[in-house]
Amino acid sequence: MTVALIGFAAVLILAFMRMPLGIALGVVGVIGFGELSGYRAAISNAARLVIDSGQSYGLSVLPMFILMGLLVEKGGMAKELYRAAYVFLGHKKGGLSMSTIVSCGMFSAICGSSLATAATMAKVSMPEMRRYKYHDSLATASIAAGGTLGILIPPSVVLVIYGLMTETSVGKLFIAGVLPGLVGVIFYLLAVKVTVTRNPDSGPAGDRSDWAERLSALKDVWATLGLFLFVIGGIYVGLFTPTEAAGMGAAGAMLIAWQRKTLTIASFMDVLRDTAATSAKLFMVLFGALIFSNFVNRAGLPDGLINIVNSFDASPMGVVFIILLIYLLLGCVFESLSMILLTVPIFAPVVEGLGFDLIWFGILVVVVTEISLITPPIGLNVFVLKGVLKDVAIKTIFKGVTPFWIADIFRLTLLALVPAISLFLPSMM
Amino acid sequence: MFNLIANIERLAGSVSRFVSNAAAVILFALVILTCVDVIGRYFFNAPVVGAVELVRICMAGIIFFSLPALFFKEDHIIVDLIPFFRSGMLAWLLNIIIICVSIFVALTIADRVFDYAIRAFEDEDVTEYLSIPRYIVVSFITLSIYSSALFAMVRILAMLGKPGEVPSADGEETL
Repeated sequence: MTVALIGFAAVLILAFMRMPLGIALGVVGVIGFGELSGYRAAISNAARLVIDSGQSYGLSVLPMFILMGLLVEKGGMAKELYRAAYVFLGHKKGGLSMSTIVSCGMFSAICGSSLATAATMAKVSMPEMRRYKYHDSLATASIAAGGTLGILIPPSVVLVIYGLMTETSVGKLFIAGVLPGLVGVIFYLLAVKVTVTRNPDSGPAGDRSDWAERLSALKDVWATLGLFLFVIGGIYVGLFTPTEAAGMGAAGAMLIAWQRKTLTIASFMDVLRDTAATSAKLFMVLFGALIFSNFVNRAGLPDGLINIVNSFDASPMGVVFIILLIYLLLGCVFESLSMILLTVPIFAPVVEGLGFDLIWFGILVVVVTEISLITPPIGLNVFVLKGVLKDVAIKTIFKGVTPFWIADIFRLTLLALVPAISLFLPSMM
Repeated sequence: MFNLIANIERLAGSVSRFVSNAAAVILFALVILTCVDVIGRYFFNAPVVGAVELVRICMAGIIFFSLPALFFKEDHIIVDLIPFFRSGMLAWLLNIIIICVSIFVALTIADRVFDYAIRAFEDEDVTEYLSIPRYIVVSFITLSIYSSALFAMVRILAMLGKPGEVPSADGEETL
């Protein structure tokens, strides 16, 4: 176990020195495994992993779902989603922020990336909120927080990676993310409500829309929402495997973009190239993470941790809360993907050893990751927003995010204490 | 000397664009293949024979055609937390050492992957349904990893021409 801890520390040092994360994980994994079982075996294992996971059927969901998200993002569908939410909620106090949250939730249903959700929705919703003189803190915070829903509401890149690392069903993980995602939307709406109740000037009401406008707005988004229902519904009722659903989803997004004439052949090729490059980037880290995971298991770290936990005679739920606390602390200094890749191989076996469901734990890990995206000092969604809205201070966004962060902590506690919220839908599959 | 480096860099850039386009076309083919398979199965009772094998080959194409460009642009996912390592002579030196380590790792893995390619060739190992020789894909993976090491070397050459200058990292969080 000591060897594994030294390896863990070595990865952290190399990663902080800006060594590519995949290389850092891979180098430490091979050296660690080599020290324990010989270098020939270590290198052979690593090569085998690269060959097998580079041709993995299950992982083909990643490029296709990334493609679907990028097509929706470039296809200009975010504006229509925002309008659809606005016509129903805009007339309430804080209604534009609420519309932002709901449209982020809808956008997340097609796009598996939090950063893309935040960046895209910022361009659509911020001008509207500025027009109605929303305080920058509430406006930007609702985008940053709403954006985090991207990695929980399926499809989700993070859930695919978690599924691969823990060998749990990606389809079930996707379905398990639906209700916690909806709970997230509701809690964020409550956070907006609390903010505007305490300071009514921060989010004035917008214009009320009549039913003709509402119906027309819904007509504009039926294709996008239909695509979500088709893809996720198809997985739920067993019509498609996640890979097939991803392919159908990507093709559906292509058709929508083609019908709207939002993509030229050149921009379509750009989207394809971006998707392939992003996938390769993710796979580089995955190769490293899988090699590192082999080493950690060979060194007996998960077993060692389970023994320590047993020797303390702690309650299993207490252990889960300690793990979540560790995640919250790591989230303050670590970016999300690194955090998941480094910790899941260590914590997942412990949680499974304590008798918990790994699908439920996956949802908790993603929610904690969402929290890290808006936690100072390196909450990435906040920095993405800062990149898009250069005139807003980082401090202002972090200040506005506080009620959403508290809402997230409540949601995390609720999901930890009531596993049925995550497990009800997958249990019906 | 600088002209030579610039020419090599330009050539590597062109090759990198070509392989990125190849990866893009294969991605498009993967989407079409998956759709044809699903539609064929549900509407014509005729799924694509060996679809899983073809999907696996497409995946290898997408990832390993993109890999050399990733090394060329140093577009990896990095943890960019400490400003001290971002600029200055020390950061430049560290960057070169890190790329050297990346090259060593790539060459070591590529050597072993090549062993697997030879083994697949000698064993006449083929896929289950379409009988596609496995050594073709594994050799392609070998070539991709060797090329990635080569592209990283070009990157070092370019950096040596500009001492103390750390190229801005393209790597970004992708969640």
